[in-house]
Amino acid sequence: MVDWRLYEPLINFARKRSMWIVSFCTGCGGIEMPPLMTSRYDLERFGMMPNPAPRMADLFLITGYVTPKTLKRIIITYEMQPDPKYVLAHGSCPLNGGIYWDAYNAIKHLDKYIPVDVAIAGCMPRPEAVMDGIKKMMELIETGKADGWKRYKENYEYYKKNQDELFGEGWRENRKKMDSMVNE
Amino acid sequence: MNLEKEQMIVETILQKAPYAEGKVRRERRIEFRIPPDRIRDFLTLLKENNFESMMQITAVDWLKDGEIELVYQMWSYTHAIHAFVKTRIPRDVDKARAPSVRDIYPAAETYERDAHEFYKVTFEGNDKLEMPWILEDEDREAGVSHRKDFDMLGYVKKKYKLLDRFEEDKENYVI
Amino acid sequence: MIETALKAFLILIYATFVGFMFMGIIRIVTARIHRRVGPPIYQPILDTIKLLSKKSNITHGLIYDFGVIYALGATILALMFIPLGSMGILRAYGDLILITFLLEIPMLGIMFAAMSSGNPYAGIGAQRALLTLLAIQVPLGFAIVALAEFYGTFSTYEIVMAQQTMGWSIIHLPLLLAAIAYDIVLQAMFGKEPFDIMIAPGEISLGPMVEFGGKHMGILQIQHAIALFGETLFFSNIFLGGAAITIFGSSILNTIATLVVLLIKQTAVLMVATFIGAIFPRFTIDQAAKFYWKWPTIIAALGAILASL
Repeated sequence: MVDWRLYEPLINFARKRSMWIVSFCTGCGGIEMPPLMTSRYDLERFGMMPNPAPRMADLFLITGYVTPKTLKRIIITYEMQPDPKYVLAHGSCPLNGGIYWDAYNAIKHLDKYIPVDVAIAGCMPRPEAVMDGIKKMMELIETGKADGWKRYKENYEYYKKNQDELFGEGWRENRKKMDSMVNE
Repeated sequence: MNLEKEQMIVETILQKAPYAEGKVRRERRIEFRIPPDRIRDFLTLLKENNFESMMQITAVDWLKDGEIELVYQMWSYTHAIHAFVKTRIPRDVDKARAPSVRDIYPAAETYERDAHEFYKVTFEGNDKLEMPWILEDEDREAGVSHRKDFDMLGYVKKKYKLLDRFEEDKENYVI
Repeated sequence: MIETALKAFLILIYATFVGFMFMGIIRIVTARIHRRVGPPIYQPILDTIKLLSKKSNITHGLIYDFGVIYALGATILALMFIPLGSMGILRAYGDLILITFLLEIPMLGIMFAAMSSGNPYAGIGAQRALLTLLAIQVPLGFAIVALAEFYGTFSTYEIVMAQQTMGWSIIHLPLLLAAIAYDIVLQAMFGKEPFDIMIAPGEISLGPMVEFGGKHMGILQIQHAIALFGETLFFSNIFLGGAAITIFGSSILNTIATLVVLLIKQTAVLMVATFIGAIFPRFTIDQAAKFYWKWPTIIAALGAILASL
């Protein structure tokens, strides 16, 4: 049969020039998405398009702070995407807590729960800084080093241990734990 | 910058409520202080004087005085003036009580739930205080509150297991 | 026998390539209308390569996989019946009703694949798409009847040959009315605003296509490209006088000239659809159904009555 590994440069070129973004705008950085998509800093010329269905998308933008309630939904959405998939973290809140470093309700270090490929610092980063980050992400894809999805599969026990420590065991099946505002 | 309108409103209200003290802080902001057993009368008086809406009920924890200060923030659309109404109630959990004003201002029900959840102030007459509001179950069982004697930084370190490098030094705020 | 298979294969490659170019043209023209620099024209080819090279596939059973292949197969079959200058394979058997029927089957295939996945958004999207399909049948029927009455025959190839001597179809008034009604129907068949209620991004998460990922979506992109090519080719053949050039000596030059003329006419149809699609918002499903049963039906019925006089 055909050995697809010979075509890796072409396939990597196609992957880096047509990333589709999951439209999941968390936190306060969701306001930085529309300036990127509209006329001034046009993101569609790199082929990136927002896509409402997680089954078709490969790039996940985490813009801003993450609370435990949102983190449950992010993990479920991340696992719904087909491989290969990439995660881009904006702002200083996913890096080390940002201005919410002593709050009881914000995640301090996102890399413990889902794998992050490229992190962009700033509070909020300007669109030019985001484009710099996207350029770095394209370089990582081209050389084949964007392997967040491989890390997730290989070190699944590490990530699962961290998730279970935060939410308690069996948090996916337990409906009361998923949605703690259920008043029954 | 003349403060005549605010001065006139302060004097009108102080005439009808002799137990209160009031002054004008700056343009469009006035401040009253009342004893805690007169909250309902004073707020009814404000509602008759065109203060239509309540913006927030804020609680301030004075640890050294042993009191919690409740600040009712009122806004008047006709005069365009923001009024503070400040009272002080004792701080212990079983003695921190205040009457509920939700029949005068219906929006106060939500703000009283907020103050109850984070400062453990009980408002008598409000039967929805025990409904789940913001804190998740494990946080509520651990007793998270914004009072000054709760060690918030220690709780956060225990929950997320990460912040060993961070310390809250009052002189030297360095991370 | 071998020659027929070779011609079929070449037509398929040509149609896929030009279809992808058409999808790229739609995206870049829409971007320029919004005053931004758009993606390059070959962008849909990169999208399809990326989608086909996803490493994990999510499948919901046999019908889910089968519906996608069924849609692609029906589109390829429809393409073989439409006369492409002098190169159409089965053009002697392709009459109007058969081609119209075959161009609507892919939507049914996608619908039953989507409904078997169990996602509620897919169910709502499939419902709305089927209602749209029902709504466009009435003006479509009247337009086809107007054509048949005017030329006296149902066969597409004979209509194309008749136009070489009688001039383009839209010169005659009854067929101009039928062409206007068919153009409005074409908006819904492409899936563009204002009738793209079936693929409503952001409202119902892309409707029926919410569960398709990876290789299924890649096959659907190929199907969309071939469908774009087929529908514009059909419109140019029956209303704009498809080409059958015989002035050159050698047959290769004849074929190339025919294909170029057809390409220009197809691009014109596509441009009209893109311009209308870039400025209109979206109708809801009951507004769309009521619209289709009022004005395009009246125009097409008028055309049919005038054609039979």
